[in-house]
Amino acid sequence: MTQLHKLYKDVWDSLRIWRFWVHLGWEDIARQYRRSILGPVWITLNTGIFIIVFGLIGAQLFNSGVDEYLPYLCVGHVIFTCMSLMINDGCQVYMQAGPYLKQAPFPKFAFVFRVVWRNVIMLAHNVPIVLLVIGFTSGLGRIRLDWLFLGIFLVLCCSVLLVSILGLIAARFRDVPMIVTSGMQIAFFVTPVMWRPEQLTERAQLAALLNPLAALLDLIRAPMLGTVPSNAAWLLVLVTLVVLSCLCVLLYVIGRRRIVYWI
Amino acid sequence: MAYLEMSGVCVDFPVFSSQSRGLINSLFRFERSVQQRIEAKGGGGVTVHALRDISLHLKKGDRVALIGRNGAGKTTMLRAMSGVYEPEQGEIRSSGNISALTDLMLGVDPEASGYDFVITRGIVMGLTKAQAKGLFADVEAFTQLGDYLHLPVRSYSTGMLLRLAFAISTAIVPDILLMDEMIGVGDSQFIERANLRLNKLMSQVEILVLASHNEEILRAFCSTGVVMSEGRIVHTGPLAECLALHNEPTLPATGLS
Repeated sequence: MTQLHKLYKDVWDSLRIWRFWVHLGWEDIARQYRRSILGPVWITLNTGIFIIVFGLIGAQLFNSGVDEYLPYLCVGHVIFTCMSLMINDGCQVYMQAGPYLKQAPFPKFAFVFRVVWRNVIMLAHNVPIVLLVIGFTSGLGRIRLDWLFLGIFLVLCCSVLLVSILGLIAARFRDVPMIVTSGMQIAFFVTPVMWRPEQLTERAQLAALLNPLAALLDLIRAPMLGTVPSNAAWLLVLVTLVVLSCLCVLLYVIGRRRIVYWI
Repeated sequence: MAYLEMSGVCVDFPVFSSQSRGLINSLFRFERSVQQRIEAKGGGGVTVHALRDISLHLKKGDRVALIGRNGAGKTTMLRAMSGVYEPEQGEIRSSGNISALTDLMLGVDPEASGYDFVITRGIVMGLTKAQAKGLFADVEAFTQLGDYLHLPVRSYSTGMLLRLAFAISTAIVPDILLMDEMIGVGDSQFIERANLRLNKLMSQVEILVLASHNEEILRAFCSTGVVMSEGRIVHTGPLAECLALHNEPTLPATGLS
């Protein structure tokens, strides 16, 4: 069996044992709350307070109406935080899975799915805030569900690929998690989360246009706010998907077998 | 029908560390036997040859004792058998589901209850949640932990946790059972009951591979032996013969002629 076959089998087996990674991901979250009284509400509260406080300041800072700025910031911040946490978390996939991978030949992607699923649950904590903010400002009725679902699907595909790639590289090169962490801090400022691309000069807008994170963000934020994502964003996300897929296949053909030896 | 075949299997560990450069330098000072196992490779890394050219055929009914000093490669061998380490060279083929009793505490969360632990491990072993709950009665009966099972695992004594982990790990009967070191802790009553349970489990599995330093245990469960040294199989044969060879003061480093 070639390594490509084994990769295909790995992904397929991982999907088949969904009970395993769904449970592990759920346990990861439950573990954090076992002795807390408010539990998950803490995260929701945290985000809520930040959004309201910064929403009021930012609206003045960027010279736009609160009604317009608040939902923009809220959706952008919640989605970007999720992506950022997922990318950082992605570096730990295989290091965390060590005890399991050494006990039995579990398919590797099961642990990738576990991390993505766990971060989706984290995201779900903030959904009530997003709905509340949109409900009070731009209106829930304006959400474009069709585009939203397509956007979420593509973002999830990108997440799985990215987490699998980072996990493999970080298992071999232990400096990667630190590089990724500082990279994501910078990414927060160069991605239009708090500001709008239109507020930049034309040259700087081009840079924002070529930022895959901005495109992924747009795919979810635009339909939430009642518009359709730009053609440039769709194109960039599709290109990103193709590049990540190629990279993922390449890395796993070379490295999948070796992951256990590295951890 | 369960079988497990290894032919010409080599398992090499790359060692990446900032110290590996120092290690390469000191390689020249190592004795010969160590030099055979640790090898400097290009690019500043070091490779440890954990298993060398392992060929072994196990069929239904085999009860194999894995014998060797510390670091002979017993645990790596068990992991290779279970499919964890896909070998660099050689081939491992098997049929039948394999269960490795190496890490009893896998998946334990100190804040979760004993019952939660049973469910987590059940799902890790491939059961549905309902099937995992089906293990409760068996676990309750064996551990005799009673209401403690509702409390967080954190509040258990080491012995209680061991009883629970052991009960879960042995709740499902595999076709091929790989075991690393028998559980030495626990009071004498537990050891007695654990042995009873293991006896039952082992009589049901088709192939058993047991790595242990305890000759009494090996004699009780195994009929044949595999002696390992420096990552190689030095001898295979009847258990008594292997134990005698193992107890000789100087064990040859490479294969017997």
